[in-house]
Amino acid sequence: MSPGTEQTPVIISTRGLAKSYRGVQSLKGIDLTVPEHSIFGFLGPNGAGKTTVIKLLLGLARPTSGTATVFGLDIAGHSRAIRRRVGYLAQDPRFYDKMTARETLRFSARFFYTGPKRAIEQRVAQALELAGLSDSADRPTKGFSGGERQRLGIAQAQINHPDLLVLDEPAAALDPIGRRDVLQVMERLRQHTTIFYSTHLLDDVQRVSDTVAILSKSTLVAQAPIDELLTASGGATYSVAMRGDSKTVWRRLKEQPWVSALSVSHANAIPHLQVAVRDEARAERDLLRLVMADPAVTVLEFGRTRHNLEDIFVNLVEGAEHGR
Amino acid sequence: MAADLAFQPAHDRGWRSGLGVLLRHEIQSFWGTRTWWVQLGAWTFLIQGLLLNSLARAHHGAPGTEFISVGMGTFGALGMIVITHNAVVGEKQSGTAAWIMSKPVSRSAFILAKFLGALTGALAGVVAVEGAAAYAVLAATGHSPAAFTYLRAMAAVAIYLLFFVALSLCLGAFFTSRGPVLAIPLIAILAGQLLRFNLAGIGAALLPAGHSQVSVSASSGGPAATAALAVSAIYAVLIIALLAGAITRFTREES
Repeated sequence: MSPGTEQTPVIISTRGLAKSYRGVQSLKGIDLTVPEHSIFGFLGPNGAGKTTVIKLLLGLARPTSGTATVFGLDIAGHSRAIRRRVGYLAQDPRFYDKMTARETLRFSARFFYTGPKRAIEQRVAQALELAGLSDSADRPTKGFSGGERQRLGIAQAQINHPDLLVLDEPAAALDPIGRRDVLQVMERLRQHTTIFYSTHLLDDVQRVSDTVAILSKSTLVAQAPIDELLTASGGATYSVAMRGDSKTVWRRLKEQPWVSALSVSHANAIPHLQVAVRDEARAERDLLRLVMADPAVTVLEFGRTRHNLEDIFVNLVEGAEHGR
Repeated sequence: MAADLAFQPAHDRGWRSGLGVLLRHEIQSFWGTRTWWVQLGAWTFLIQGLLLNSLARAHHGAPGTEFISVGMGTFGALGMIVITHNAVVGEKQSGTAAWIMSKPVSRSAFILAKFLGALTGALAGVVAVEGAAAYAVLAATGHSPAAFTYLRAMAAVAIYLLFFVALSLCLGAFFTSRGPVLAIPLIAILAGQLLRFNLAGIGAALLPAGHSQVSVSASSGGPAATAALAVSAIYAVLIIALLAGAITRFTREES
């Protein structure tokens, strides 16, 4: 169990999970901990090994070494018992062309429930509604667009009320509206289930995830609650927008031992000073006071800059590459 | 979600997990489509046409012989190969196999459902429909064989056809493209046709093309029928071996 998750039951846990294909290592011994009821974003560039991890967890591939449990059940010996409680959306979901969306969901439901028919039909209708497919429920899936197929994929993945939803790049092939819809569905489902999803779309992760793991070149380079990752990434940065001659302010700030870097950018011809600091407490106490002490400038905006997940992602991924 | 309380969970465990659902799907795919009726019509035209042609030529007093060996045996086998060659490999290529495998389904159930679905199609579609139609034609033209020996011949034909179903499934589990899955059984039939003239006895009978002659022997009664029974038994063992091979390979397959 990772620090900070002692109180929360763990749904997925891996220890040194590794996979090689024909001598090429596609996953290098990762340790992953997914807490219950989290929306866990599994990030990584294309080819980092995200899909491999998912396939290993579902028993669709076998690990070369290491162990993993899902719901406390070992993936090697309890694959079907795990899949009974999991809903899975593949990266490029495929269904039987001749089946309609309703038939596809009915077919999926029968792997989990034998009846009664009315309850299954009701569940199918709920899933269609949730995925926004009620209007195209009786059309063969052959004519479905990428977005419709993706939403059908989500609908079939949660037909059994899974305790864990595993989604492989659920929004990658969608237009902005489709992406928004999928994220909304995920947010609606979070109260019932744990969601473990892979993606390379950082905006989506920042919007819906509470915990993230970053995989780069088959290695796990970070894993933490998203707020922790955003704040604990190499000190804080403050932004000061001001009008007037800022030379004196610049010089004064440069002299402060707790300031690590200074830069300036312009938005609408207004200079925005970016002040990176080593000591947040000193900065919070003295920074604004120092700037305002100069009568030549008027402060228009002041605030702490939150790190963007993209910056962190790029730093970690590039750091991992340079570190090898 | 009050209805959730009423759900009856599926209880299939072990190798039977998902078998019922998949078998129902296979049977529906076999019977419930327009393609199937088109296939049935085409094969009926071919097989019954051959019988009628044979009758018209007053074939040495035994028109049923050619019908059983060529019509039911060779054409039936070709039909089975065409119908089933895509069963496993097609699902692997399209990604639907991986989708099914993400459900609580055993890999044995996936292969067995394919086999049992094709079995109902082969038995009902080719052996029962074509066999009954041919028997009616033969009876109407005064060439009616004894019912029991005719049934025995049909059983031999069924085993022969199921051999090709099992072969197609096994090849589908091993290969990732349709070419070899279609070509190998066709080559087996062709090679068998060529080789059986150079082999004698059981060797010739065991060839794919030889077995269709075995079906003829099964319809004749006497010692030949006993030998035919032995060859059919060997084919039944081969079917089991091919299915075991298909399941073993498919179990090792990584989606």
